Amino acid sequence: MSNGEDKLDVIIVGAGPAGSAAALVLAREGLSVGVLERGEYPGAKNLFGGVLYTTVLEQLVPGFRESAPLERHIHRRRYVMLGDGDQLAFEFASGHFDQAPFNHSYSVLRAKFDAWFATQAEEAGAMLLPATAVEELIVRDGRVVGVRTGRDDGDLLADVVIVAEGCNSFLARKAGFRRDFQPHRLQLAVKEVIALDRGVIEQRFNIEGGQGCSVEYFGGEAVAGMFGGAFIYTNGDSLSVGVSCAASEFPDRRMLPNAVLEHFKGLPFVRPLLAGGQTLEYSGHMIPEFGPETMPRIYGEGVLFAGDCAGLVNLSPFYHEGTNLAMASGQAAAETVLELRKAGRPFTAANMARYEQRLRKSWVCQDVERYRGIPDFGHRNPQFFNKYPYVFGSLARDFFSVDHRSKKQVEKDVIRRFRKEVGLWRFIRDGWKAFKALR
Amino acid sequence: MNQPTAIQPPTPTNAEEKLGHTQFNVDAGNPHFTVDPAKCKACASKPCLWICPAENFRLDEKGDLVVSWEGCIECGAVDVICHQMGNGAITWHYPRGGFGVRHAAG
Repeated sequence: MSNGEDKLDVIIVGAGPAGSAAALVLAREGLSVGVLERGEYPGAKNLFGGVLYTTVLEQLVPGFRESAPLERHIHRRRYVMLGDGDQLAFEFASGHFDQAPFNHSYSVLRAKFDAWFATQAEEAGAMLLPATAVEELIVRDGRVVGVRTGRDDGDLLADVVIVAEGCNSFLARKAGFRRDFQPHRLQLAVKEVIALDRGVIEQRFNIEGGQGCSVEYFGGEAVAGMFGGAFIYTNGDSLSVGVSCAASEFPDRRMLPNAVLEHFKGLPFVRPLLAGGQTLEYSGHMIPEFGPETMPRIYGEGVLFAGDCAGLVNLSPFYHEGTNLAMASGQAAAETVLELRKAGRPFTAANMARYEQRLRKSWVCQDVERYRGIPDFGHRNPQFFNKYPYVFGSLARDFFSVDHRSKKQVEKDVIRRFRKEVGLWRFIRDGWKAFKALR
Repeated sequence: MNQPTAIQPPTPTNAEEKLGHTQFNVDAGNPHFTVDPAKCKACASKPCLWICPAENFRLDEKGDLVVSWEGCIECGAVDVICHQMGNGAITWHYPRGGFGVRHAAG
Protein backbone atom coordinates (compact mmCIF):
# COMPACT_ATOMS: atom_id res chain seq x y z
CA MET A 1 0.00 0.00 0.00
CA SER A 2 2.72 2.42 0.92
CA ASN A 3 4.73 2.70 -2.29
CA GLY A 4 1.80 4.06 -4.23
CA GLU A 5 2.34 1.55 -7.04
CA ASP A 6 -0.07 -1.06 -5.75
CA LYS A 7 -3.35 -0.10 -7.25
CA LEU A 8 -6.76 -1.08 -5.99
CA ASP A 9 -9.72 -1.62 -8.24
CA VAL A 10 -11.84 0.83 -6.25
CA ILE A 11 -11.22 3.26 -3.41
CA ILE A 12 -14.25 4.37 -1.41
CA VAL A 13 -14.11 7.49 0.73
CA GLY A 14 -16.33 7.13 3.78
CA ALA A 15 -17.77 4.09 5.55
CA GLY A 16 -21.29 5.43 5.97
CA PRO A 17 -24.37 3.85 4.35
CA ALA A 18 -23.39 4.91 0.80
CA GLY A 19 -19.74 3.85 1.08
CA SER A 20 -20.42 0.52 2.76
CA ALA A 21 -23.22 -0.31 0.28
CA ALA A 22 -20.83 0.31 -2.62
CA ALA A 23 -18.04 -1.66 -0.92
CA LEU A 24 -20.34 -4.59 -0.24
CA VAL A 25 -21.54 -4.87 -3.85
CA LEU A 26 -18.03 -4.53 -5.31
CA ALA A 27 -16.28 -6.86 -2.86
CA ARG A 28 -18.86 -9.57 -3.48
CA GLU A 29 -17.87 -9.50 -7.16
CA GLY A 30 -14.25 -10.06 -6.15
CA LEU A 31 -12.88 -6.56 -6.78
CA SER A 32 -10.13 -5.20 -4.54
CA VAL A 33 -11.84 -2.45 -2.53
CA GLY A 34 -10.34 -0.09 0.03
CA VAL A 35 -12.73 1.87 2.26
CA LEU A 36 -11.21 4.92 3.97
CA GLU A 37 -13.00 6.20 7.05
CA ARG A 38 -11.84 9.26 8.99
CA GLY A 39 -13.50 8.12 12.21
CA GLU A 40 -11.87 5.72 14.64
CA TYR A 41 -14.54 3.24 13.55
CA PRO A 42 -17.39 3.44 11.02
CA GLY A 43 -20.22 5.41 12.60
CA ALA A 44 -17.95 7.39 14.93
CA LYS A 45 -18.75 10.61 13.03
CA ASN A 46 -22.23 9.74 11.89
CA LEU A 47 -25.59 10.79 13.09
CA PHE A 48 -29.17 11.15 11.89
CA GLY A 49 -32.55 11.87 13.36
CA GLY A 50 -33.45 8.36 13.84
CA VAL A 51 -35.46 6.43 11.24
CA LEU A 52 -33.78 4.12 8.73
CA TYR A 53 -35.75 2.90 5.72
CA THR A 54 -34.55 -0.53 4.74
CA THR A 55 -35.82 -1.27 1.23
CA VAL A 56 -32.29 -1.16 -0.21
CA LEU A 57 -30.71 -2.83 2.81
CA GLU A 58 -33.07 -5.75 2.36
CA GLN A 59 -31.71 -6.29 -1.16
CA LEU A 60 -28.11 -5.94 -0.04
CA VAL A 61 -28.29 -8.01 3.16
CA PRO A 62 -31.47 -10.11 2.99
CA GLY A 63 -31.15 -11.47 6.53
CA PHE A 64 -30.36 -8.10 8.13
CA ARG A 65 -33.17 -8.37 10.68
CA GLU A 66 -31.32 -11.22 12.39
CA SER A 67 -28.04 -9.41 12.92
CA ALA A 68 -28.40 -5.64 12.40
CA PRO A 69 -28.60 -3.44 15.52
CA LEU A 70 -32.18 -2.24 14.98
CA GLU A 71 -33.88 -0.41 17.84
CA ARG A 72 -37.62 -0.53 17.09
CA HIS A 73 -39.83 -0.81 14.02
CA ILE A 74 -41.96 2.28 13.44
CA HIS A 75 -45.50 1.28 14.35
CA ARG A 76 -46.84 4.73 15.15
CA ARG A 77 -46.21 8.07 13.42
CA ARG A 78 -47.31 11.32 14.96
CA TYR A 79 -47.19 14.72 13.23
CA VAL A 80 -47.56 17.71 15.49
CA MET A 81 -47.93 21.48 15.29
CA LEU A 82 -47.36 23.38 18.51
CA GLY A 83 -48.77 26.85 18.99
CA ASP A 84 -48.90 29.14 21.99
CA GLY A 85 -49.96 26.59 24.58
CA ASP A 86 -51.88 24.54 22.00
CA GLN A 87 -51.10 21.27 20.27
CA LEU A 88 -52.59 20.02 17.02
CA ALA A 89 -51.60 16.48 16.10
CA PHE A 90 -52.25 13.82 13.52
CA GLU A 91 -51.35 10.24 14.22
CA PHE A 92 -51.21 7.08 12.21
CA ALA A 93 -50.49 3.63 13.65
CA SER A 94 -50.89 0.28 12.00
CA GLY A 95 -50.94 -3.30 13.11
CA HIS A 96 -50.00 -4.12 9.53
CA PHE A 97 -46.56 -2.68 10.25
CA ASP A 98 -45.95 -5.17 13.08
CA GLN A 99 -44.80 -8.06 10.94
CA ALA A 100 -42.03 -8.49 8.38
CA PRO A 101 -41.07 -6.40 6.53
CA PHE A 102 -42.18 -4.02 9.31
CA ASN A 103 -42.93 -1.31 6.73
CA HIS A 104 -39.14 -1.13 6.15
CA SER A 105 -38.88 1.52 8.89
CA TYR A 106 -36.73 1.22 12.00
CA SER A 107 -35.24 3.53 14.54
CA VAL A 108 -31.48 2.94 14.76
CA LEU A 109 -28.43 4.53 16.34
CA ARG A 110 -25.87 5.22 13.68
CA ALA A 111 -22.67 4.53 15.62
CA LYS A 112 -23.91 0.98 16.07
CA PHE A 113 -25.65 0.54 12.74
CA ASP A 114 -22.88 1.93 10.53
CA ALA A 115 -20.27 -0.21 12.31
CA TRP A 116 -22.41 -3.29 11.65
CA PHE A 117 -23.00 -2.37 8.00
CA ALA A 118 -19.27 -1.76 7.40
CA THR A 119 -18.58 -5.19 8.89
CA GLN A 120 -20.85 -6.72 6.24
CA ALA A 121 -18.64 -5.13 3.56
CA GLU A 122 -15.50 -6.32 5.33
CA GLU A 123 -16.82 -9.87 5.54
CA ALA A 124 -17.46 -9.73 1.80
CA GLY A 125 -13.77 -8.93 1.32
CA ALA A 126 -13.50 -5.12 1.39
CA MET A 127 -10.49 -3.67 3.20
CA LEU A 128 -11.49 -1.09 5.80
CA LEU A 129 -8.98 1.58 6.81
CA PRO A 130 -10.42 3.51 9.76
CA ALA A 131 -8.82 6.64 11.27
CA THR A 132 -7.80 7.62 7.75
CA ALA A 133 -8.83 11.05 6.50
CA VAL A 134 -8.69 11.78 2.79
CA GLU A 135 -7.24 15.24 2.13
CA GLU A 136 -7.77 15.44 -1.59
CA LEU A 137 -8.45 13.53 -4.76
CA ILE A 138 -5.34 12.88 -6.86
CA VAL A 139 -6.05 14.15 -10.35
CA ARG A 140 -3.75 13.38 -13.30
CA ASP A 141 -4.50 14.65 -16.79
CA GLY A 142 -8.00 15.61 -15.70
CA ARG A 143 -8.72 12.16 -14.34
CA VAL A 144 -9.17 11.09 -10.71
CA VAL A 145 -6.60 8.33 -10.13
CA GLY A 146 -6.57 8.03 -6.35
CA VAL A 147 -6.67 9.83 -3.03
CA ARG A 148 -4.18 11.59 -0.78
CA THR A 149 -4.65 10.54 2.83
CA GLY A 150 -3.33 12.14 5.98
CA ARG A 151 -1.05 9.15 6.65
CA ASP A 152 2.67 8.99 5.84
CA ASP A 153 3.19 7.82 2.26
CA GLY A 154 -0.51 8.32 2.12
CA ASP A 155 -1.23 8.30 -1.62
CA LEU A 156 -3.49 5.46 -2.70
CA LEU A 157 -4.30 4.74 -6.32
CA ALA A 158 -7.28 2.99 -7.88
CA ASP A 159 -9.07 2.60 -11.20
CA VAL A 160 -12.13 4.31 -9.71
CA VAL A 161 -12.80 6.43 -6.64
CA ILE A 162 -16.29 6.45 -5.14
CA VAL A 163 -16.67 9.44 -2.85
CA ALA A 164 -19.23 9.01 -0.06
CA GLU A 165 -17.87 11.70 2.23
CA GLY A 166 -21.13 13.03 3.69
CA CYS A 167 -22.71 16.46 3.84
CA ASN A 168 -19.67 18.66 4.30
CA SER A 169 -18.21 17.26 1.06
CA PHE A 170 -14.85 19.02 1.11
CA LEU A 171 -13.48 16.76 -1.63
CA ALA A 172 -16.37 17.53 -3.97
CA ARG A 173 -15.96 21.26 -3.30
CA LYS A 174 -12.20 21.20 -3.81
CA ALA A 175 -12.49 19.22 -7.05
CA GLY A 176 -15.19 21.57 -8.35
CA PHE A 177 -18.09 19.12 -8.25
CA ARG A 178 -20.27 21.23 -6.00
CA ARG A 179 -20.72 24.95 -5.42
CA ASP A 180 -20.55 26.75 -2.09
CA PHE A 181 -23.37 25.99 0.29
CA GLN A 182 -26.06 28.59 0.86
CA PRO A 183 -26.91 28.87 4.57
CA HIS A 184 -30.66 28.95 3.93
CA ARG A 185 -30.40 25.70 1.97
CA LEU A 186 -28.68 23.74 4.65
CA GLN A 187 -30.26 22.30 7.75
CA LEU A 188 -28.36 22.24 11.00
CA ALA A 189 -29.66 19.63 13.42
CA VAL A 190 -28.74 19.10 17.05
CA LYS A 191 -29.73 16.01 18.91
CA GLU A 192 -29.58 14.31 22.26
CA VAL A 193 -29.86 10.63 22.92
CA ILE A 194 -31.69 10.35 26.22
CA ALA A 195 -31.67 7.09 28.17
CA LEU A 196 -35.05 6.04 29.52
CA ASP A 197 -36.41 2.78 30.84
CA ARG A 198 -37.86 0.56 28.10
CA GLY A 199 -41.19 0.14 29.88
CA VAL A 200 -41.51 3.87 30.53
CA ILE A 201 -40.94 4.58 26.82
CA GLU A 202 -43.60 2.06 25.86
CA GLN A 203 -46.16 3.54 28.25
CA ARG A 204 -45.51 7.14 27.24
CA PHE A 205 -45.64 6.49 23.50
CA ASN A 206 -48.40 3.86 23.58
CA ILE A 207 -46.29 1.05 22.10
CA GLU A 208 -45.27 -2.43 23.18
CA GLY A 209 -42.80 -5.16 22.34
CA GLY A 210 -40.61 -4.10 19.42
CA GLN A 211 -42.95 -1.31 18.34
CA GLY A 212 -41.60 2.19 17.95
CA CYS A 213 -43.02 5.68 17.57
CA SER A 214 -41.84 8.67 15.58
CA VAL A 215 -43.00 12.16 16.48
CA GLU A 216 -42.33 15.01 14.04
CA TYR A 217 -43.03 18.63 14.92
CA PHE A 218 -43.53 21.17 12.12
CA GLY A 219 -42.27 24.68 12.78
CA GLY A 220 -44.36 26.57 15.32
CA GLU A 221 -43.43 26.76 18.97
CA ALA A 222 -41.41 23.52 18.73
CA VAL A 223 -38.64 25.60 17.11
CA ALA A 224 -39.75 29.06 18.28
CA GLY A 225 -41.29 29.79 14.86
CA MET A 226 -38.04 29.19 12.98
CA PHE A 227 -37.89 27.47 9.59
CA GLY A 228 -37.44 23.92 10.71
CA GLY A 229 -38.84 21.26 12.97
CA ALA A 230 -38.21 18.96 15.87
CA PHE A 231 -38.38 15.22 16.42
CA ILE A 232 -38.58 12.45 18.98
CA TYR A 233 -37.86 8.87 17.95
CA THR A 234 -38.09 5.91 20.29
CA ASN A 235 -35.11 3.57 20.49
CA GLY A 236 -35.00 0.39 22.58
CA ASP A 237 -34.15 2.07 25.86
CA SER A 238 -33.47 5.63 24.78
CA LEU A 239 -35.06 8.51 22.88
CA SER A 240 -33.51 10.45 20.01
CA VAL A 241 -34.60 14.05 20.56
CA GLY A 242 -33.59 16.96 18.38
CA VAL A 243 -34.33 20.09 16.42
CA SER A 244 -33.34 20.98 12.88
CA CYS A 245 -33.54 24.42 11.28
CA ALA A 246 -32.13 26.20 8.24
CA ALA A 247 -28.57 27.16 9.23
CA SER A 248 -29.20 30.82 8.36
CA GLU A 249 -32.00 30.98 10.93
CA PHE A 250 -29.72 30.75 13.97
CA PRO A 251 -27.73 33.96 13.28
CA ASP A 252 -30.77 35.69 11.74
CA ARG A 253 -32.89 34.98 14.79
CA ARG A 254 -30.00 35.17 17.25
CA MET A 255 -30.87 31.79 18.71
CA LEU A 256 -28.15 29.25 19.49
CA PRO A 257 -28.93 25.70 18.32
CA ASN A 258 -28.75 24.32 21.84
CA ALA A 259 -31.06 27.10 23.04
CA VAL A 260 -33.64 25.97 20.47
CA LEU A 261 -33.24 22.35 21.59
CA GLU A 262 -33.61 23.34 25.24
CA HIS A 263 -36.67 25.43 24.36
CA PHE A 264 -38.20 22.37 22.67
CA LYS A 265 -37.36 20.00 25.51
CA GLY A 266 -38.87 22.38 28.04
CA LEU A 267 -42.26 22.80 26.32
CA PRO A 268 -45.20 21.55 28.41
CA PHE A 269 -46.18 19.07 25.67
CA VAL A 270 -42.66 17.67 25.38
CA ARG A 271 -41.27 17.76 28.91
CA PRO A 272 -43.43 14.90 30.26
CA LEU A 273 -42.28 12.63 27.41
CA LEU A 274 -38.65 13.09 28.42
CA ALA A 275 -39.01 13.31 32.19
CA GLY A 276 -36.50 11.29 34.19
CA GLY A 277 -34.29 10.62 31.18
CA GLN A 278 -30.50 10.90 31.28
CA THR A 279 -28.61 12.45 28.38
CA LEU A 280 -26.16 9.95 26.92
CA GLU A 281 -24.83 12.00 24.03
CA TYR A 282 -25.15 15.45 22.48
CA SER A 283 -24.33 15.83 18.81
CA GLY A 284 -24.85 17.98 15.72
CA HIS A 285 -24.93 17.43 11.99
CA MET A 286 -25.92 19.17 8.77
CA ILE A 287 -28.32 18.04 6.05
CA PRO A 288 -27.72 19.28 2.49
CA GLU A 289 -30.64 20.91 0.68
CA PHE A 290 -29.53 21.63 -2.84
CA GLY A 291 -31.86 23.52 -5.12
CA PRO A 292 -32.41 22.61 -8.78
CA GLU A 293 -29.62 24.87 -10.00
CA THR A 294 -27.10 23.99 -7.28
CA MET A 295 -27.23 20.20 -7.43
CA PRO A 296 -23.66 18.85 -7.41
CA ARG A 297 -22.22 16.96 -10.34
CA ILE A 298 -22.12 13.32 -9.29
CA TYR A 299 -19.77 11.74 -11.81
CA GLY A 300 -16.51 12.59 -13.56
CA GLU A 301 -13.37 11.03 -15.01
CA GLY A 302 -12.61 8.11 -12.71
CA VAL A 303 -14.92 9.29 -9.93
CA LEU A 304 -18.50 8.91 -8.65
CA PHE A 305 -20.22 10.64 -5.73
CA ALA A 306 -22.88 8.95 -3.60
CA GLY A 307 -25.07 9.76 -0.60
CA ASP A 308 -25.29 13.18 1.08
CA CYS A 309 -22.32 14.58 -0.85
CA ALA A 310 -24.26 13.90 -4.05
CA GLY A 311 -27.22 15.86 -2.64
CA LEU A 312 -29.38 12.75 -2.50
CA VAL A 313 -31.76 13.62 0.30
CA ASN A 314 -35.55 13.44 0.25
CA LEU A 315 -36.57 16.78 1.75
CA SER A 316 -40.23 15.96 2.30
CA PRO A 317 -41.22 16.72 5.88
CA PHE A 318 -43.20 13.47 5.93
CA TYR A 319 -40.30 11.17 5.11
CA HIS A 320 -36.93 12.72 6.00
CA GLU A 321 -35.14 10.06 4.00
CA GLY A 322 -31.38 10.09 3.44
CA THR A 323 -29.72 6.85 4.49
CA ASN A 324 -31.85 4.72 2.17
CA LEU A 325 -30.99 6.98 -0.77
CA ALA A 326 -27.35 6.81 0.31
CA MET A 327 -27.45 3.00 0.15
CA ALA A 328 -29.28 3.08 -3.18
CA SER A 329 -26.75 5.45 -4.70
CA GLY A 330 -23.79 3.47 -3.30
CA GLN A 331 -25.29 0.37 -4.84
CA ALA A 332 -25.89 2.16 -8.17
CA ALA A 333 -22.31 3.49 -8.19
CA ALA A 334 -20.93 -0.01 -7.59
CA GLU A 335 -23.16 -1.51 -10.28
CA THR A 336 -22.03 1.14 -12.76
CA VAL A 337 -18.39 0.23 -12.08
CA LEU A 338 -19.15 -3.48 -12.47
CA GLU A 339 -21.06 -2.91 -15.69
CA LEU A 340 -18.26 -0.87 -17.29
CA ARG A 341 -15.59 -3.35 -16.18
CA LYS A 342 -17.53 -6.26 -17.59
CA ALA A 343 -17.92 -4.47 -20.91
CA GLY A 344 -14.21 -3.58 -20.90
CA ARG A 345 -15.03 0.12 -21.15
CA PRO A 346 -12.85 2.82 -19.53
CA PHE A 347 -14.07 4.92 -16.59
CA THR A 348 -14.38 8.11 -18.61
CA ALA A 349 -16.90 10.78 -17.63
CA ALA A 350 -19.00 9.88 -20.68
CA ASN A 351 -19.20 6.26 -19.56
CA MET A 352 -19.67 7.16 -15.89
CA ALA A 353 -22.76 9.15 -16.89
CA ARG A 354 -24.51 5.78 -16.77
CA TYR A 355 -24.50 6.19 -12.98
CA GLU A 356 -26.67 9.29 -13.14
CA GLN A 357 -28.91 7.66 -15.76
CA ARG A 358 -29.37 4.70 -13.42
CA LEU A 359 -30.40 7.00 -10.56
CA ARG A 360 -32.69 9.06 -12.80
CA LYS A 361 -34.54 5.95 -13.88
CA SER A 362 -35.03 4.84 -10.27
CA TRP A 363 -37.07 6.24 -7.40
CA VAL A 364 -33.91 7.87 -6.03
CA CYS A 365 -33.76 10.89 -8.34
CA GLN A 366 -37.52 10.94 -8.75
CA ASP A 367 -37.99 11.41 -5.00
CA VAL A 368 -35.13 13.90 -4.68
CA GLU A 369 -36.45 16.03 -7.53
CA ARG A 370 -40.02 15.92 -6.39
CA TYR A 371 -39.28 17.50 -3.03
CA ARG A 372 -36.28 19.65 -4.00
CA GLY A 373 -38.30 22.87 -3.98
CA ILE A 374 -39.46 22.54 -0.37
CA PRO A 375 -36.69 24.60 1.30
CA ASP A 376 -37.21 27.51 -1.11
CA PHE A 377 -40.96 27.20 -0.64
CA GLY A 378 -40.53 27.36 3.13
CA HIS A 379 -38.37 30.47 2.97
CA ARG A 380 -40.82 32.21 0.65
CA ASN A 381 -43.73 31.24 2.91
CA PRO A 382 -42.61 31.64 6.52
CA GLN A 383 -46.27 31.82 7.59
CA PHE A 384 -46.32 28.00 7.57
CA PHE A 385 -43.74 28.01 10.36
CA ASN A 386 -44.27 31.24 12.29
CA LYS A 387 -48.01 31.87 11.89
CA TYR A 388 -50.23 28.95 11.01
CA PRO A 389 -49.22 26.61 13.85
CA TYR A 390 -50.12 29.39 16.30
CA VAL A 391 -53.31 30.54 14.58
CA PHE A 392 -54.71 27.07 14.00
CA GLY A 393 -53.80 26.05 17.53
CA SER A 394 -55.74 28.95 18.98
CA LEU A 395 -58.68 28.45 16.59
CA ALA A 396 -58.90 24.84 17.72
CA ARG A 397 -58.77 26.03 21.32
CA ASP A 398 -61.70 28.36 20.66
CA PHE A 399 -63.61 25.57 18.99
CA PHE A 400 -63.12 23.20 21.92
CA SER A 401 -63.61 25.81 24.63
CA VAL A 402 -66.65 25.20 26.79
CA ASP A 403 -68.55 28.30 27.88
CA HIS A 404 -72.05 29.76 27.95
CA ARG A 405 -72.26 30.49 24.22
CA SER A 406 -74.44 28.32 22.03
CA LYS A 407 -72.50 25.90 19.81
CA LYS A 408 -73.74 27.80 16.81
CA GLN A 409 -72.27 31.00 18.21
CA VAL A 410 -68.96 29.23 18.94
CA GLU A 411 -68.72 28.08 15.34
CA LYS A 412 -69.58 31.54 14.08
CA ASP A 413 -66.92 33.11 16.28
CA VAL A 414 -64.27 30.64 15.13
CA ILE A 415 -65.12 31.26 11.49
CA ARG A 416 -65.06 35.03 12.00
CA ARG A 417 -61.61 34.82 13.62
CA PHE A 418 -60.36 32.53 10.87
CA ARG A 419 -61.49 35.03 8.20
CA LYS A 420 -59.88 37.90 10.07
CA GLU A 421 -56.55 36.26 10.94
CA VAL A 422 -56.01 33.99 7.93
CA GLY A 423 -58.63 34.75 5.31
CA LEU A 424 -60.41 32.18 3.22
CA TRP A 425 -58.73 33.06 -0.06
CA ARG A 426 -55.31 33.28 1.47
CA PHE A 427 -55.86 29.90 3.09
CA ILE A 428 -56.93 28.34 -0.20
CA ARG A 429 -53.99 29.94 -2.02
CA ASP A 430 -51.45 28.84 0.59
CA GLY A 431 -52.99 25.39 0.80
CA TRP A 432 -52.71 25.01 -2.95
CA LYS A 433 -49.10 26.25 -2.91
CA ALA A 434 -48.21 23.79 -0.15
CA PHE A 435 -49.96 20.98 -1.98
CA LYS A 436 -47.97 21.75 -5.13
CA ALA A 437 -44.67 21.98 -3.22
CA LEU A 438 -45.29 18.67 -1.48
CA ARG A 439 -46.20 16.69 -4.54
CA MET B 1 -17.17 45.96 5.25
CA ASN B 2 -19.29 47.88 7.75
CA GLN B 3 -17.67 49.43 10.77
CA PRO B 4 -17.58 46.89 13.57
CA THR B 5 -20.31 47.58 16.07
CA ALA B 6 -20.73 46.33 19.59
CA ILE B 7 -22.27 42.89 19.50
CA GLN B 8 -24.47 41.57 22.24
CA PRO B 9 -22.93 38.17 22.91
CA PRO B 10 -25.31 35.25 23.28
CA THR B 11 -26.12 33.93 26.69
CA PRO B 12 -24.39 30.57 27.10
CA THR B 13 -26.78 27.65 27.35
CA ASN B 14 -25.82 24.38 28.99
CA ALA B 15 -24.09 23.09 25.83
CA GLU B 16 -20.77 22.79 27.63
CA GLU B 17 -22.31 20.61 30.32
CA LYS B 18 -24.00 18.43 27.69
CA LEU B 19 -20.73 17.97 25.83
CA GLY B 20 -19.51 16.20 28.95
CA HIS B 21 -21.62 13.25 27.75
CA THR B 22 -20.07 13.21 24.26
CA GLN B 23 -16.79 11.36 23.70
CA PHE B 24 -13.76 12.97 22.06
CA ASN B 25 -10.30 11.86 21.09
CA VAL B 26 -8.63 15.27 21.24
CA ASP B 27 -5.69 15.85 18.88
CA ALA B 28 -3.72 17.74 21.54
CA GLY B 29 -1.89 20.74 20.14
CA ASN B 30 -3.46 20.41 16.68
CA PRO B 31 -6.44 22.72 16.30
CA HIS B 32 -8.43 21.80 13.22
CA PHE B 33 -9.62 25.31 12.53
CA THR B 34 -8.05 28.74 12.44
CA VAL B 35 -9.33 32.32 12.69
CA ASP B 36 -7.80 35.23 10.76
CA PRO B 37 -7.80 37.93 13.48
CA ALA B 38 -7.86 40.92 11.09
CA LYS B 39 -10.74 39.56 9.04
CA CYS B 40 -12.58 38.60 12.22
CA LYS B 41 -12.13 42.06 13.74
CA ALA B 42 -13.56 43.65 10.61
CA CYS B 43 -16.65 41.42 10.78
CA ALA B 44 -19.64 43.35 12.06
CA SER B 45 -22.16 40.55 12.31
CA LYS B 46 -20.14 37.65 13.77
CA PRO B 47 -22.70 34.95 12.86
CA CYS B 48 -20.33 32.34 14.31
CA LEU B 49 -21.53 33.38 17.78
CA TRP B 50 -24.99 32.00 17.00
CA ILE B 51 -24.35 28.90 14.92
CA CYS B 52 -22.21 26.52 16.92
CA PRO B 53 -24.09 23.68 18.69
CA ALA B 54 -21.10 23.33 21.02
CA GLU B 55 -20.88 27.12 21.56
CA ASN B 56 -17.17 27.11 20.82
CA PHE B 57 -17.18 30.72 19.56
CA ARG B 58 -17.41 33.40 22.25
CA LEU B 59 -16.41 37.01 22.73
CA ASP B 60 -14.04 38.07 25.48
CA GLU B 61 -14.45 41.34 27.46
CA LYS B 62 -12.60 43.26 24.74
CA GLY B 63 -14.98 41.97 22.08
CA ASP B 64 -12.39 39.67 20.50
CA LEU B 65 -13.37 36.22 19.37
CA VAL B 66 -12.24 33.36 21.59
CA VAL B 67 -12.50 29.87 20.15
CA SER B 68 -12.15 26.45 21.70
CA TRP B 69 -11.78 23.58 19.29
CA GLU B 70 -11.36 20.59 21.58
CA GLY B 71 -15.10 20.17 22.06
CA CYS B 72 -15.99 20.50 18.37
CA ILE B 73 -18.73 18.08 17.30
CA GLU B 74 -17.79 18.56 13.62
CA CYS B 75 -21.09 19.63 12.10
CA GLY B 76 -19.17 22.06 9.85
CA ALA B 77 -21.83 24.79 10.05
CA VAL B 78 -19.46 27.55 11.17
CA ASP B 79 -17.38 27.20 8.01
CA VAL B 80 -20.41 27.88 5.83
CA ILE B 81 -21.87 30.60 8.06
CA CYS B 82 -18.60 32.51 8.44
CA HIS B 83 -17.93 32.52 4.71
CA GLN B 84 -21.48 33.16 3.54
CA MET B 85 -22.84 35.43 6.29
CA GLY B 86 -19.66 36.72 7.96
CA ASN B 87 -16.26 37.84 6.74
CA GLY B 88 -14.61 34.52 5.89
CA ALA B 89 -12.19 34.65 8.83
CA ILE B 90 -12.68 31.05 9.93
CA THR B 91 -11.08 28.17 8.07
CA TRP B 92 -12.59 24.98 9.35
CA HIS B 93 -11.70 21.45 8.36
CA TYR B 94 -12.06 17.97 9.78
CA PRO B 95 -9.58 16.87 12.45
CA ARG B 96 -6.89 14.37 11.46
CA GLY B 97 -8.07 10.82 10.88
CA GLY B 98 -9.00 9.05 14.10
CA PHE B 99 -9.25 12.25 16.14
CA GLY B 100 -12.16 14.42 17.19
CA VAL B 101 -15.69 13.50 18.14
CA ARG B 102 -16.47 9.83 18.64
CA HIS B 103 -20.15 8.93 18.72
CA ALA B 104 -21.16 6.02 20.88
CA ALA B 105 -24.84 6.33 19.90
CA GLY B 106 -25.01 8.63 16.87
